[in-house]
Amino acid sequence: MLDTAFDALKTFDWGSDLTALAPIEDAATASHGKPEARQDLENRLIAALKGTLTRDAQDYICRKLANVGTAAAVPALAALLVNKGNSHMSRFALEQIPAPEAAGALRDALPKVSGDLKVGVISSIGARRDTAAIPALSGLLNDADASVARAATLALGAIGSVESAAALQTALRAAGDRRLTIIDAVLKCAESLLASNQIANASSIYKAFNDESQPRIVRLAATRGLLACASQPAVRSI
Amino acid sequence: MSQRVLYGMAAFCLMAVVPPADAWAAESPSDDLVQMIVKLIGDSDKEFRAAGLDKLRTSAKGAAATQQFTAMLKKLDAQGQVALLNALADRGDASARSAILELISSSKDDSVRAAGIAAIGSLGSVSDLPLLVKSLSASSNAEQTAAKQSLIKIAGETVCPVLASESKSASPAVRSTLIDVLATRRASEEGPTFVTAAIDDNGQVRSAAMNALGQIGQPEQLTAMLAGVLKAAKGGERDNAERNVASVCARIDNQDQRATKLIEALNTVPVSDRDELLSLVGRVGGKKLIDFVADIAFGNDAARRKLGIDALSKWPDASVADKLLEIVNKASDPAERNQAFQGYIKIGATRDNRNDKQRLDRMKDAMKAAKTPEEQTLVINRTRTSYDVEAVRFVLPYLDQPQFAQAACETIVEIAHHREVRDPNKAEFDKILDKVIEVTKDPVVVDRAQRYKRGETWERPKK
Amino acid sequence: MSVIKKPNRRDFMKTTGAAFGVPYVITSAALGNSERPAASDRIVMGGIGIGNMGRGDQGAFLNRKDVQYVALSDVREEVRDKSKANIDRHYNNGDCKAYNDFRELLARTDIDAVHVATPDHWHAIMVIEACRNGKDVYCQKPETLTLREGPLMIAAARRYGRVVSGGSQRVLEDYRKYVAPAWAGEFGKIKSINVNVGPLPQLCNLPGETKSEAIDWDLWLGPAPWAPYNPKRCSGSFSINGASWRSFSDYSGGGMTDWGAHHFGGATFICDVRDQQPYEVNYFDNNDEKYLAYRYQNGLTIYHNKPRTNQLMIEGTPGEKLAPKPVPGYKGEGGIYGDFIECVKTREKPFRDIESAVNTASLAHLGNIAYQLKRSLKWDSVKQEFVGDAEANRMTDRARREPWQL
Repeated sequence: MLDTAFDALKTFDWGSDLTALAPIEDAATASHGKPEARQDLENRLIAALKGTLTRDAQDYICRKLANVGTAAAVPALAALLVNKGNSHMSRFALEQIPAPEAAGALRDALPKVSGDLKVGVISSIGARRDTAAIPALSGLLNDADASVARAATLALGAIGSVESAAALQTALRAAGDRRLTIIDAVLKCAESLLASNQIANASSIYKAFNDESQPRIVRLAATRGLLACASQPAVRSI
Repeated sequence: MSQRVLYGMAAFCLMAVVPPADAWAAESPSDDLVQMIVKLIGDSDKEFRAAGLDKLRTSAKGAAATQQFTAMLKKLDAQGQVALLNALADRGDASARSAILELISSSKDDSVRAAGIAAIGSLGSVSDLPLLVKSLSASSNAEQTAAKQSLIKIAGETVCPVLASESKSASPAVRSTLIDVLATRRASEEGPTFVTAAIDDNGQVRSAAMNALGQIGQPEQLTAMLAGVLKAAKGGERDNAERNVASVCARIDNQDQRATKLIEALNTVPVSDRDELLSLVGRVGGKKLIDFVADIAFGNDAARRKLGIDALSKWPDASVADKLLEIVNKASDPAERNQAFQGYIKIGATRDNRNDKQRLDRMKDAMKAAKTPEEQTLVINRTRTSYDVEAVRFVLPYLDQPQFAQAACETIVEIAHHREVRDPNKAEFDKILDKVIEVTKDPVVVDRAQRYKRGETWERPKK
Repeated sequence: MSVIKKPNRRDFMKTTGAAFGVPYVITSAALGNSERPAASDRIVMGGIGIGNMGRGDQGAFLNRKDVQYVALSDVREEVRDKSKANIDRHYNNGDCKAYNDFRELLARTDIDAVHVATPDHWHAIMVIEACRNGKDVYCQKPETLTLREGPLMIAAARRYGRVVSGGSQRVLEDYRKYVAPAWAGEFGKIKSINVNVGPLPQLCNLPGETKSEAIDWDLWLGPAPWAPYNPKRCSGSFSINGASWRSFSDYSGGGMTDWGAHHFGGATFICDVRDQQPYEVNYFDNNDEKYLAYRYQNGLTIYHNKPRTNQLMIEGTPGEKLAPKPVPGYKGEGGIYGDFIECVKTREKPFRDIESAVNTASLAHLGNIAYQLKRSLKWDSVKQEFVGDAEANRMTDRARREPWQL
């Protein structure tokens, strides 16, 4: 059955009957807790991905590798990151594979891509909250491509650490039109810090923005943040 | 200070000057939170004020803090007072009550008094009922509405008995409101209050009582409700009263038991009044009552026959359809026949738990029985409740008959509207819709037909 | 006694305008009359996604005297043109601006609030971007496409103090006959309730077709995987069986979220757990009868498609009557739309506040994942992750197509 499904994949394209691929779906579910079966499935998917397939078939494999892929699948997926037609679905898998190799592949791709593809890679790094990428992302905060700079800003906000907040705040000095986007990302960092009980660090950020010179919406957010800090159990109990 | 310096300071603070968490916490006791909230409550920008009020609702607990918040009431403009009152209500600390009562008595602003009355609903007790009941007659609608909502909301085990007692001596308007309140509070133990009010001389009170019984009445109260139906003025009030009895019956799961309970109640009604309740029997329906009503509909008394046919026409399901069709085919009086025909179409086309084919079969039978173009047009029109390609095929021939063509067009596009019917029969539908476009003179029908051909949908205009 | 002056909208906009460097301009057509609030007291609105539901939402807001509807955005040219014509006819002017790209609408500083009724795969991006731009939002249900999106939307709303309401008027309006006795304590402690809804979403592999409409296809797809145009793929009809985007997993959670927003929303309202998420989802597969049991910390179980069990069938503790609780409802006048507008004015939380809306949508997503994996799952609602199930955690979100990012 599984062989037949992988055969069907060779000619699979938009409009093809999806039920032909059902055995692959079933194998993905049934192989849970069965390392050998899971590895066999992954190997088949990787092998297929390296073959000559339609974009639709490649996309399908990426969807499955998002569910069952491991470090073993990373090289094949990483090779697609630079292709305009495949980059997104490659990230579909790489964003979800918990192996550090997947994070590494995304970081490694940064200098190899530009424009929208770079924005995509950055967004996946942000979604993974990859702290190892903070230096690289920080270097992109003033990128000549405004969409790349924005993506790096949002990614650092998603990472939400003290270090990413500091990088963002440094970038504020020359922010220009992107000031509110960077502040938004810093505020996201503050929320992450607050959620991890780093109240002092969060409060420090909010205090910095609770200033009459700031835009009204920023002061409002800072005020709300300070209220949230002051409401924390650790503070209330004092 | 320049922006640049500020941002630089922010980064510097973060990395170097931030005190350890404990030290910061020590500088920020809960009183800081209270003071922040107090300051924000007084902010002229309502979004900043809302930030404080959000926290007031959920944090900075305790009566001491509440007193600081209520102290702000006197310092705010009306809009600020309303916002604070709403937040205090959500905070749920009853220690705010006295300040709120004071504001209700002193404020000249309707919206402030209304918000205060609403807050008492959350924070007050039985001792506040006189104020709330009195406020039902306040000069402003806002206060009246707030008072009613507060009476619905206010906590206390004795609230319902007190309100029931108050209702006895209240004006009809207040009495009907109090009955509404008791019903919404689902005070089923106050049944006697509703039963008495159901036969009151005031129609507003009667309607409120019947609505209350409809919501929370028990089968044991059906007898009293029938008295309410008979007392109700014919027309809207009677119709509403019948619906409420039907609601109580509908809560009896077993259909036979439902009929039994209704028959028991009917048997307590004087024989001379029972015919007036036939319409109600029809609304309740059930196998056990079919023969009882049908006997009347087929009987010798013309006036009673009319009541019987009316009852059959109100049946909640299609189980009486054959009886109505029999009357259609046998009746010698044209008016009686027409009444039965209309009833048959209504019952036969109702989208109940029958399938589309069964509904269509009823329409086919109706077409055989139809004698006038008006009746035929009605059948073509109601065939639209059968979401089936067979229904389209049934009305298709009428496209060629000018007097029925428009009705047929409308029915076809109504059925074509359902994609699950249309898509599996696309080729056939496309052909039929082409014909509809050719035949109809209604631009809306043309637009719909074209859309369905293109695989699009159509939004029904709101009435 | 000092009385603090109530700021009016012009003061407010002056502040905002100064901050953003954009002047606030209100047109002559927006001036009030005896039956309409003055322009400064009206909520200036725009709409994004004006298809089936969006058109209905637009009509509801447009017909309010306290709303000035000034802009719309849709990727379909015909929709844009018709919608603009409709609005201009309503106001008897030509002021309404129609945009293909929603970002242009959100960048306008004169707009207070927007309604969003695009396919679900756009909701999170648009709601978050609207909040960043200081807009209040009425977002159609289902509010999220993935589990990760919900907390990010809530965070954006809270960060900027925005009023963000989910859709579904049915939650409050369709289930009164259960809500009233439940909140009155008549069922005793509710042990379980059953929700029958579906189907699950399906992968869409429809073939490409020649475009039969003027549509910005790339923007329609947005963050979703690229796919060729097909009218069924992007149809806004209410089908959940393969004839509209509601059926397909790239754009929707299928019937599970589409109708689940109503039914799960109703069930959680009846049981007063709108502010919670379950800690466990049990998956059952008995002789091809597949169903779920969501377990809550308070002992409640919400069943999904429990065999031979009616919709919203409640199992309580017969003979026990609990103390009644006041039933929450809409604020203001005009149903769920009026509730939103009233909250925009008062800054209170709407009935379908984004947090409870997200909790409802998450219930459906958790179910979809359990059905797909065919196993029971433990859920940490604080961390928003599955406990001890890395594979399930891979399904809490998905990469967005460039250049779209949360």
